[in-house]
Amino acid sequence: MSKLKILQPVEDKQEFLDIDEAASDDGDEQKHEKLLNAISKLGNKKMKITQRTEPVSRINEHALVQVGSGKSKTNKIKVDDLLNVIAEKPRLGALKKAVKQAKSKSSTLKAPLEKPQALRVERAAGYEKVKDEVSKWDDIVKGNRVAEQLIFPLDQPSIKMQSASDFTAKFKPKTPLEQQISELLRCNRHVQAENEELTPAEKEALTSMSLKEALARRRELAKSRALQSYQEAKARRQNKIKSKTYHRLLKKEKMKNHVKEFDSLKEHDPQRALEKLEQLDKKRIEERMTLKHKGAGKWAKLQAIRSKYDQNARESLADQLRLGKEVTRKIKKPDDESEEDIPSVPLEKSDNPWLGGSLPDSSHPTTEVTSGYRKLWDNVNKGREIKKKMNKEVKKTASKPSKVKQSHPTDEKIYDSTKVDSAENESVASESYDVQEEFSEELDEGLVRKSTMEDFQQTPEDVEMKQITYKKTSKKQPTQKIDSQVASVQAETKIATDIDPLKFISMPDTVIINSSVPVTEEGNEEDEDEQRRMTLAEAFADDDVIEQFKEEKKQVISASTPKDIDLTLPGWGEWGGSGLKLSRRKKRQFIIKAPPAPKRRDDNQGNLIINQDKNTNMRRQQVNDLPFPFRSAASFEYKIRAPVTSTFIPETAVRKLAAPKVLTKIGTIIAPMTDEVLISAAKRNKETQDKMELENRKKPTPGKYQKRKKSSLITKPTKKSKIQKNQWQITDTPATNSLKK
Amino acid sequence: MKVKLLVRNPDDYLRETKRDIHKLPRNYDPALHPLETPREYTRAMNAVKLERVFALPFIGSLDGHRDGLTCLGKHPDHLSWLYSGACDGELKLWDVAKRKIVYTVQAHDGFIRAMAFSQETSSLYTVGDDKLIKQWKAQELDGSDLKAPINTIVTRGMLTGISHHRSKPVMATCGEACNLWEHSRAQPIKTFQWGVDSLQSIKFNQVEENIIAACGSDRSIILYDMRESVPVRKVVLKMRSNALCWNPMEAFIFTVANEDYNLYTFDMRNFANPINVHKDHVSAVIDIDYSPTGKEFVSASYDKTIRLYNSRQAHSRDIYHTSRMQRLTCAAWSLDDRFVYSGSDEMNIRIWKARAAEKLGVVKPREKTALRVNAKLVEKFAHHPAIKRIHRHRHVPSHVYNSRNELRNSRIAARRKEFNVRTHTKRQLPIIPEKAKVIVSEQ
Repeated sequence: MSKLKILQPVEDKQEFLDIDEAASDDGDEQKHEKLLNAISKLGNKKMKITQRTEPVSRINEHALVQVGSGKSKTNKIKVDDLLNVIAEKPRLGALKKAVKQAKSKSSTLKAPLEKPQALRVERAAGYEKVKDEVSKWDDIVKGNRVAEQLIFPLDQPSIKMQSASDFTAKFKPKTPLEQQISELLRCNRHVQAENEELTPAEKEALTSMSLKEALARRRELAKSRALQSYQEAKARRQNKIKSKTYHRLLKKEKMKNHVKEFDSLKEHDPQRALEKLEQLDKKRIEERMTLKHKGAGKWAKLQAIRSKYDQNARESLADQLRLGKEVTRKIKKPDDESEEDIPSVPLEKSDNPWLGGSLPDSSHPTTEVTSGYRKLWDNVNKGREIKKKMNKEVKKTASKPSKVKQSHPTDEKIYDSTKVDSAENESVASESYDVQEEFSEELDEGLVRKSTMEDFQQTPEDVEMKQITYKKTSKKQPTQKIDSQVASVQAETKIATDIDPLKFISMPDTVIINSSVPVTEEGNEEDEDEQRRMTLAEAFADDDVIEQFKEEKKQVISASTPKDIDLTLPGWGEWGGSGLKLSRRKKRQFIIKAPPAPKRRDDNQGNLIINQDKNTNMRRQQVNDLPFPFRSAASFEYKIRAPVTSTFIPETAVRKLAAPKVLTKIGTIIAPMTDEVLISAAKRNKETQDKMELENRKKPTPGKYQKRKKSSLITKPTKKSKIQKNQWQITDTPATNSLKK
Repeated sequence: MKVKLLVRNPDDYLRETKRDIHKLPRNYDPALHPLETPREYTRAMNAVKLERVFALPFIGSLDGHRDGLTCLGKHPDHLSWLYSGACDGELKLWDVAKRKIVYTVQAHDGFIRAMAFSQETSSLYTVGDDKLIKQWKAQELDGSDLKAPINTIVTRGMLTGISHHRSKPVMATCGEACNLWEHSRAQPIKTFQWGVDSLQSIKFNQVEENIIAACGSDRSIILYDMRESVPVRKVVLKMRSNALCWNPMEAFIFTVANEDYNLYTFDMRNFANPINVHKDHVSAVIDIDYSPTGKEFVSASYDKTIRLYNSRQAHSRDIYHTSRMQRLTCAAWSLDDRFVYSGSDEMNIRIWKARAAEKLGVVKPREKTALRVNAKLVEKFAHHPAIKRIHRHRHVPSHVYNSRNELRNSRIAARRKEFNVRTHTKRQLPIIPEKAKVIVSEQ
């Protein structure tokens, strides 16, 4: 109401003014003034503004009039003015600050989206929500898809056995007495837990150490940790160095260190020296496996091209090859000289790689490069000798008691006698004996170094047999055994010599160096020849491949050629008896001649057999492609090979294998899946968790840790009971967890 | 003096009666059975042949309607009760076990379009071309409660489909828009509208109960959440989908029967492409229903056949047809997972076995194991050509055979053309996977 009263006069005034202006003339200025006066007077009289305030429940915002709106903007009341007033009160200082902040951050809200866009946003949000909601079924659906067997309806009561320990685990002390007892039992360190031999207290007593010891140990640990970190830092620093020469030098130095270490070990710890030796030997094997130093690398190839014109390149390449040889060279034993019974193979120029077509060029001086490896291997050999001697000594001492017991001639003597008997093979036998002795202590036969022909031809059983015989030598008829063994060794050497190195199939080399560099080989020539012969023998040690292949081809051809069919009955229509010939008539009549053999496709192709009797009819019955769920032919074949019927496997297994994937019950309605499945799955999870918890709790924890745990144990039951009241909480949480996963 | 004798007691190897079955001692050492696999192969061959011999899926037909079938309804609580609606508005209740009509009532003027059950109130809802939603009681064994509807709602628009919420008293109808109704109200409690097109099929998700899916005549599939105020998602396919069914065991999986002769299985969470395209039909697919185990579904097609699919395989596992069966209009899988019902244009409902060679009735344990072992053998050797040929062979009517060949040829031609185009263009278009081709847009 008051609003109207305020506003109306102003409007009226304006109207009047408009009218006046329209009607005004130049001369009536005075009149006009008069009129105005009169009006103003009139207005004062009649429309005296009477303002009164009435209490209303709600103040209309439109009713508020800006103070001084008509006059100037400077008079506007601002928030600051209001704040200045309250600034004096310290209680409202915070308010001032808040207003300031609001002012600085103030921005108008954006206009609402157009309706289609707004709907789109709403739909997208809704879809995301639905997606999330539905995803909780993921685990169950996947589980059902891959399940071996599904039994519908799904929500069936589960029946399972409950063991006594399970039952007792659920027991919760309720009465104060029970609680007291359980408290005493649970936290007592003198109570023995299940599957444990000692109580926690006993254990602690056993393992505890004095303060001094503990301190010493701690110091030691700290020291080792510091050392380790220092070493790590050093290694890191060294790794960063890119210089090749540096690394080469480093390697050499390392090698030297190894050798030194080995030397020192050799003297006072032969056991560990042997281990070290094995380790180094492994390195050589690894080197042999790689293509390193064999002229196959990029650099080597480049050098090979250059070597035609460049002396330096030639030399460096030769150096590399030599290095490779050196590194992979097998060490000759000092007692290898005895094996001279291998017939020498004529080393002619041929394309048989085994015969070494190109002999080593003597133009290059064969300077002995004393590298770390060489030195090392020399040392290694020495170490072995020492080891052998030591073993012999040990043997001697060990054999003495047996001698006393059984009143047999001693090993030594027997051994001597054999030496006398077979002077030629003596060293062979002794060598193998020694080797065997050396490794029988800790290693299996697979690691026996096969350095000689005999070694190579020995099958594992042979070695085993040897071992046995050597063990028995102290007991029964040692002379015979060793004799027989010597004989077998001789036979073996004979077999080895039967291989004809001139029969071979030439194969292209995988690593080819087409350079003019003569392959330099250090060492004396005889040595090399011998070695080559040896490797040849080794390569064909097991089988005569070429002859075998030819034989096989002959057999295949003969099997495929049709044969004459002999239908003659001996003695039918003629005199019978041995040594009688078939008559021509009978031959003509009763022997059906085979047609000439069809031409074979592999007739003129020397080293090839083509299987021509492939059965196409059979092929039609077989599976062409690998069926879908299988990843490999082997797995498919495995499945086909595994029998499923009761003729071949027990009835119970058959029943298990033939169990259908989906089982339904006749006349039972299968309702769609319900939330209960989800709940039961969650319950199962919860149960397993509980079990785990129980098991954890059962485990005794010694020392302080247990004391800390005590408090948590006490609080646990209350927590649990709270959860159990709210069934939903139990079931929901694991499900959501699994979803997150 | 002890004399050693060979003793053979007939009690050890002769049985007293025929039923007295001894456990024969056997040596299972594989070395003694060198021909295991060949022998099993022969057995598998015999098993697969026997399976084909016994594959007689047709059980019988329910004859009685005077017009083409439009919809079938399985009672959620009674296995043998089957409701059927026809084009003339007749609603029939069948006793499937006895193959007899229990009750007939003129439910609507014009087509009965769809029906749905409310398990809680054990009532049946039908919608018809007369724009009415009728509620019937479905409790009495003799069907006497079908005499008159207990409630009728007059609606403003056309109604083409109805579906009921699994646990709440809410149902959804489709037509010009998707409406949600409550039992006690005569007005829809909610209306979902997206565009102006009409919907022809609507289904509540039975597992995740608040989600609804519907097929629109603008070739779209629309997803609703009952709690939201707007539809949630829409995907447009190349051709129209006729019917839709949710997998009852997998909450987010549904399959639509499409006009382009295929069925598409979607994961609700990813509409970018269907997870499976089920081929083999040679005409529009009209209806689809999942088996209650969710492992298989049945589809009814305009090509006068019904096909059974494994829900995760692209090709059908079986095809059912008879010479007298005409265009299919509806199909349903019985709730005990053993039978399939189909309704067709020529006024008949047919009952089929869900597994063609299954033996009905009681099967003795030994026979059961034998059958299972046979099935296992067939499964084991299913990839061998001879067995596969017998296992997969089906006799089909000539029109299906011919049109299948025709379709195959056209598909090969299309593929060839695509290949040629690809090999002779400089800037090749991106390769779109076959599955994604069917999706036009997703909103």
